[in-house]
Amino acid sequence: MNAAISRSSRMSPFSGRAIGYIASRAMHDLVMSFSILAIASLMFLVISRVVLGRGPAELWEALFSPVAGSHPIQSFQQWSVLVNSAAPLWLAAMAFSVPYHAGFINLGGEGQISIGGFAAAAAAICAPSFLLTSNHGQFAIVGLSVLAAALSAGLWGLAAFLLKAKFGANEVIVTLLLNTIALGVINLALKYPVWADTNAQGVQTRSLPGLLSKAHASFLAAHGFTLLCFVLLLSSHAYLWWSKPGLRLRAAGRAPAAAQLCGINPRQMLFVAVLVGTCLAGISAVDQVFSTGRFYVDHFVGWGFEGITIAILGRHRMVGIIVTSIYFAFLKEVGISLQIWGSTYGAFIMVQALFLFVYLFIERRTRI
Amino acid sequence: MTLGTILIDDVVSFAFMVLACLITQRFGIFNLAIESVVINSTFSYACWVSTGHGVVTGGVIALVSGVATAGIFATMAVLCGLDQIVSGIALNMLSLGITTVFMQDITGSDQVSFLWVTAEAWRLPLIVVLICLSIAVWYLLSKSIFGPRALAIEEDTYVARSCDLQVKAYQAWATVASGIVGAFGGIYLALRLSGFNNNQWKLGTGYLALAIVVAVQGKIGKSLWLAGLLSVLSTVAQKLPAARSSRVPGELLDMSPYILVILLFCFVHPRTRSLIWRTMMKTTTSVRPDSGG
Repeated sequence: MNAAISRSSRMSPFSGRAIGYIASRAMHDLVMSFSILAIASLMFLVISRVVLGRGPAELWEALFSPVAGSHPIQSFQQWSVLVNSAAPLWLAAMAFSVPYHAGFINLGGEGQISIGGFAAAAAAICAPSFLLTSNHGQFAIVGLSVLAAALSAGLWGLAAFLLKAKFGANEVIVTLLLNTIALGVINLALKYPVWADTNAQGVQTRSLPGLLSKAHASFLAAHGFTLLCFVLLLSSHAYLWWSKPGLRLRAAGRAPAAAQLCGINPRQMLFVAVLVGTCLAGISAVDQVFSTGRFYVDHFVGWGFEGITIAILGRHRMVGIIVTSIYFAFLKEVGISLQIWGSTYGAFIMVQALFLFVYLFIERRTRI
Repeated sequence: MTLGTILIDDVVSFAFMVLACLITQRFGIFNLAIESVVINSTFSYACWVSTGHGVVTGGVIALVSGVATAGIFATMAVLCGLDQIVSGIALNMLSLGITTVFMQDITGSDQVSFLWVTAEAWRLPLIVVLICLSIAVWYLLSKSIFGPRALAIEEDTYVARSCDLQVKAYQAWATVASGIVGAFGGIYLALRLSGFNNNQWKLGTGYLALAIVVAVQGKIGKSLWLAGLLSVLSTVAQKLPAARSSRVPGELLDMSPYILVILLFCFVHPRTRSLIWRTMMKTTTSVRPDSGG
């Protein structure tokens, strides 16, 4: 390889040897990429024939067929369902992306999202009763919940920041462990009947007081939150990539000593990045809480790691994050399709893995 | 089983995973597929032994299964240059799906089990294997020529290539080696659980092992020490019936190992120690005039 590099560096860009070298590299990449596609197709065939005992065409039909009477990617309604379920993942991805550029690896998204969701539900349950009677009051409750989610998740995330900044504790381990601690704290908090549903099975809060019965509240849960997510995604992207403070933040993350020499305070930048990221994580949980009308711990399992995967696959850019998260939301819809079709959980996971392989293929092709 | 045996069991299986992650991490590979290596080897071992076959051949099959899984990951992540994190996650999902489907086909339930008595004699040899592998990995990565080479590859692959190192070959072989180590972990896990159960498998154990290695920057002693500590604290919190029956809420007990690890992490850092030292010195100097007077 070393010889190849030095050879290519000595060659003129228009010489026959250079063109030959580039062509051989491109051919190698092409063969590699198509071999991945071949593996994916083979997997598809194996899953359909061996695991599910049906034909590949039949499986294909089931995957892209009627979740609710219409083709999932042909009707506007299905697209809006996909975008709505993808919206919280935008924020979960930014919760990793913003601190990452300041040099903070935030693996604690799941804990921050759960804490945010619990705080949102608790704020709505404990809101003064006079707010429930008026239309504006209901919006105030939603606003209050968003604020509570952002603040609680922000505070939770700042614990990791403080431990890193003050005591030098490694944030990878601390944020990972804080996920489990967050679940413990929520379980502990849900022992109090103020907000806990003591009769229900599983860890959950009481249902939110009459919010979902109102038409405008349902609309807000369905579409308004997507809009809020988009605004927050756009703002955080603009802050990170288009603004001067964002440039300072990235500089502090990439080279703290050099940034300090230029008058940037790396610790301050880190503080801002962690605060922004964790607040976004908290807000991402609000939609789920208002859609289901209560807070369940199980709803947020895996969200943090999904956010990280989306941020990495989307290359930390807004458009990439949106496209990848819609792809992930589509995978969830596929799961529902397969369940309706009567397939097992194992088959569903295998199909998800298959789609990830296809994604890897596409990602590899676009890199050439 | 005594508490001591349970502790050893928890520590050994997790330590194998940490060691496997460490090998690949030192060669610049972010090996999330370690979970799928352990799942596949545990599953193949449990299936083989539960159908009445020999323990030794079961071990060989588990090793082959682990190496094959690691080989697939090496092909995808190293040779094809696909994203390491996403390929790892995809492989993990695939392994979980395949094992679930096959278990339902073979046993009609979510688990495969065998008699513990037949396999108990293999616990001590596996602990010896862990110790030997740890020493071998430590020697290879710290005292042999492979140490600086691994460091160069981990730091910058371009620089390593310019030094005539076959980066992809080293990374691929390291991944396969981690497959062997991970497969030993899988065998131990199968022995410990007397089988394999997808519901008992905690998704994220591999991520935790990887996080430990990343956090201690690939230091073998610190990695194993931390892995042991985390396993011990976790087991103690879960298994102590006396603590469970006390007035302390169970949630606090569940959280306590993690809180302790965070505190320990803070304490071992030089900055914290110097902070504590300065605070102690201040206290001493402020007390001294009074005591002297």
